[in-house]
Amino acid sequence: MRSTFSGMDIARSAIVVNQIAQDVVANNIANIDTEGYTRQRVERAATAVSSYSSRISSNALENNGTGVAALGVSQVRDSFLDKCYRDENSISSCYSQTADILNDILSVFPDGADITDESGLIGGLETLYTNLTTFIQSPTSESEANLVKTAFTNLTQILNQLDSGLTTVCQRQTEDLQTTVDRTNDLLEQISSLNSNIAADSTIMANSGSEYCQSNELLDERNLLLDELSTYGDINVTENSDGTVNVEMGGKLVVEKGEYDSLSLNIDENSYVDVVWRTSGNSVLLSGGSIRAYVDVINGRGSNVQSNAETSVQGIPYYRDRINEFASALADVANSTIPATIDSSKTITSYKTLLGGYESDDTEAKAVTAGNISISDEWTTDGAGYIIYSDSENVEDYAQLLSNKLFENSYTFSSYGETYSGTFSNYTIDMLGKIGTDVSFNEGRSEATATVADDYLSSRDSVSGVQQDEETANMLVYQRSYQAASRMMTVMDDMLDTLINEMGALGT
Amino acid sequence: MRISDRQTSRNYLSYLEKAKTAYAETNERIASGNRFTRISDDVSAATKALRIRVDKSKAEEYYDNVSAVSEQLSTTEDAMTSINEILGKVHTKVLSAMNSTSGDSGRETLADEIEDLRDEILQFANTTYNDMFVLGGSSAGNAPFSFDDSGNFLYNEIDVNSIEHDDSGYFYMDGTTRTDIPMSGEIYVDIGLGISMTGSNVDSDSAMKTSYSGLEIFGYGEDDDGNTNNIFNMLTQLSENLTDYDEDAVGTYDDKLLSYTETFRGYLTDIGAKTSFLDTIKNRITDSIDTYESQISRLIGVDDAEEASNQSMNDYVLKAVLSMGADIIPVSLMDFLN
Repeated sequence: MRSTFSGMDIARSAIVVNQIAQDVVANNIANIDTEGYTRQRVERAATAVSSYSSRISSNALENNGTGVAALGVSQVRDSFLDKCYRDENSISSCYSQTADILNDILSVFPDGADITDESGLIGGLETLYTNLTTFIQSPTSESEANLVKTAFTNLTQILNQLDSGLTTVCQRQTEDLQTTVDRTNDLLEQISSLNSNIAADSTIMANSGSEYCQSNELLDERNLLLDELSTYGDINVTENSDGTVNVEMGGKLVVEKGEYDSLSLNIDENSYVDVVWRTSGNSVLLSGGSIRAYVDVINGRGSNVQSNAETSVQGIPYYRDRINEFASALADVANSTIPATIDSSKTITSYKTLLGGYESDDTEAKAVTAGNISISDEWTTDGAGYIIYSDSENVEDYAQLLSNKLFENSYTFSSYGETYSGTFSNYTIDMLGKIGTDVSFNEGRSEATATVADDYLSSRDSVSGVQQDEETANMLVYQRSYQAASRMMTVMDDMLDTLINEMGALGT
Repeated sequence: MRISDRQTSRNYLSYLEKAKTAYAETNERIASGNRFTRISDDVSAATKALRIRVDKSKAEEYYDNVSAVSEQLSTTEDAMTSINEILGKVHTKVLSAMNSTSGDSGRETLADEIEDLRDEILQFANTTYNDMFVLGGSSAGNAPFSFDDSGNFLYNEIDVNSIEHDDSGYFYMDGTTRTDIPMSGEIYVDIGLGISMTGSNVDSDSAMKTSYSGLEIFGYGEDDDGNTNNIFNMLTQLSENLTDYDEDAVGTYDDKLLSYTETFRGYLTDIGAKTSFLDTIKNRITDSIDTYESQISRLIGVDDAEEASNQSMNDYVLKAVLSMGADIIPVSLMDFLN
C-alpha cells in the first residue's frame, strides 16, 4: 500500500539534492581561479525503501524508488596524472636548477658572460701580450718593464677575483640549498599533519554515514604541497585506505601517515655539502629535484673527482681546479724563464721568481692557486726592473722567450684527472666553452622537460579544472530540475486536494 | 577534450610570455648589434669568436710592431744618409789635403775639419728613437759611442779596436778572459712571421731584427796590418797623419775609408729593402685584421635584414596574442544568459 504523501517526499528529495548541487556549482565557480582547487561534484544515488536489499527488491509497487539522495561531494581527479606530473616536474626542476647555478658560475667569468668583455682572463692575457711586446722592443727600459709588471699584476688580480667569485657562488648556492632543505622539511611536516587531519575527518564522516566523501579542501592543500615537494626531490606517493598518503623520497619512506622524517644539511671543511636524513644520518640519494642539482654542482669536480663527497658534474670545484691550474701554470712559466744566475759554462743555475702564492699572513703558500697568486716579493721589493736580467747583458731574448712560452707554445695543463695541451688563451677558451656547453645543455633539457611537465599539468587541469560553461550548463539543469520537482509538488498537492477536498463531497 | 578555464588562461599566459620574450630579445639584439654575447647562447660560434679575438689582438700587436719598426728604420735611415754625405765630404777633404799647395798649415786646417766631421758622425751614431739608440744594439740609457780622454773610440766603454767577433757574439779579451761586449745583442720583434726560438735565441728568419749593430756598421777590431777597422778611428788616424803629414799612412787610410764607404752604402740599401718589405707585411696584417673582424661579426653579429623582419613579425604576433586574450578570456556561456 502506497503511503499518502510518498510522491511529495520524492519531489522533496529532488528539491534538496538540487539545492545541494547548486551549492556545489556556486563553490566551483567561486574557486575557478583558486590554486590547487579540484572541481567537485555531488555524488547522488536513487533511493529505495529497503537499504539492505537491492534498489528494486521486488516488483511490489509500494517498494518502488523513493527519490534521490546526495551521498556526498567528491573530487574529480586522476592520480595517474598527478604521478606523471610530479615525476616530470622533479626532473625538470633538477635541470633548471643546475642551469641556474651554472649560469651563476658563468657570470663569474666576465668573458663568458659577454665574450666581447675585456676584463676577464682573455682580456688580461691580451694586455700582458701587448705590454710584453712593448718591453721586448726596449728590453733594458725600466718604464717598459713596469708595464709588464702591471700586466702581470692585473692578471693575478683577475685570478683572485675569479677565485673569490666562485667562493661567493658556492656560499650563495649553499645558503639557497639550506633554504630549500628547510622548506622541504616544512613540507614533509605539513603533509604528515594534513594526513592526520584527513584520517580524523574520514573517521568522523564514516561514522556520520557519508563515507564517500573526504575533506576535499584538505586534499587539495595536500596535493599542492606534494606538487611543491616534487620540485625538490623525486617522490612517490601511495594512498592508504584511510585517506592518508605515504611519501617516498629518493626511494626512502619519508612520510608514513602522521609520521615524517626530515633532512639536514652538513657542510664539510672543503665547503662540500651533504644532505642527510635526520633519523639515519645516511646521505639522501635523489634522482631528480633541485636538491640534487645543488649537491651535484656544489660538489661537482668533473673528471678530477678525488673523494666520495665529490660528484662528476663539472661544478664549482671543477672550475676552481681549472683556474688554480691556470694560476700554477702561469707561475711555473713566469718563474722558469728569466735567469737569475748563470754559471761559467753558460748554464742557467737559477731563475728569477716573478709570481708567487702567498697566504693571508704573507707567508709563502705551499702551492700557487688562483686565490693566492700575486707578484712575487722579490719583484715588489726590487721594483719593475727586476725582470731585466742584467743591465749589461742581453735580456731581449728572455723577454721574447717569456712571451713565446705564454702565447705561442703549447703548455700541458694537468690537474688531477685531466690534462689539456695548448696556449693559455686556448686553455681559457676551452674552459669557458665547457661551462657554456653545460649551461646550454641544461637549459635545453630544462626547457624540454618543462614542456612535458606542462603538458601533464594541462591534462590534469583538463580533468580537474573548473569550466565555466560546464558549471553554467549544470546550473541551468539543476535549476530546471528544481523547478520540475517543485511543479511535481504542486501537482501532488492538487491530487491530494482532489482526494481530501473533492472526495465524498458529491452532491454537496 | 575538456578544456578547463585554468588551462585556457595558463596557455594564454605562456603564449603571451613567449611573444614578449621574443620581442625583448629582438630589440636587445638590434640595440647591441650582437646576435648574442653570452657564451652559452651559441657555444660553438662563441668559442670560435673568442679564438679569432685572440688572433686578432695578436695581429693588432704585429701591426703596431711593424709601424714602430718602420718609424725606427726611417730614423735610422735618416741618420745613415747624413753619415753617408759626411763620408763623401771627408774623402774630398783628404784629396784636397793631399793636393794642397798651402803646406802644413793648410793640411792642419783640413785635419781639424776632418775631426769636426768625425764628431758630427758621432752625433748621428748616437741617434735615438723612442729613448733607444738605433745603432746601439740593445743599449738604453747611456750613449753607446764615445771617446775617452786619450782619444780612443769606445763602444759601451770598451775600446773598439780590441773587440772581436765569433759565432757567440762580440767579445774582447780582458787579460786571458773572454768577456762579452755589453748591449751588443740583437733585438727581434714579432711581426707575425711565426716567431720561433732556439733556446733563448730568436731564430733570425722568424722575426724582424730591429737593432742595428753599430759595431758592424762602424767597424771593430784591427786588420792584419794592425790598422783599425773602425771609421772613427780611421778618421782620427787620417787627421793625425795629415797633421804630421805621413803620406803613406794617409793613402792607406784613405783607401780604407773608400772601401768602408762602399760597405756603408750597402747597409743603407739594406734599410731601403727592409722598409719596402715592412710595407708589404703591413698590408698583409691589415688584411688579416679585416678578415678577423668580419669573421667575428659573422659569428656573433646581427643580420640586420633578418632582425628587422623578426621585429615586425614579433610586433604582429604580440598584438595578435593580446587581442586574442581580449576576445577569449572573458567569454563563456554565462555571458549569453538572460
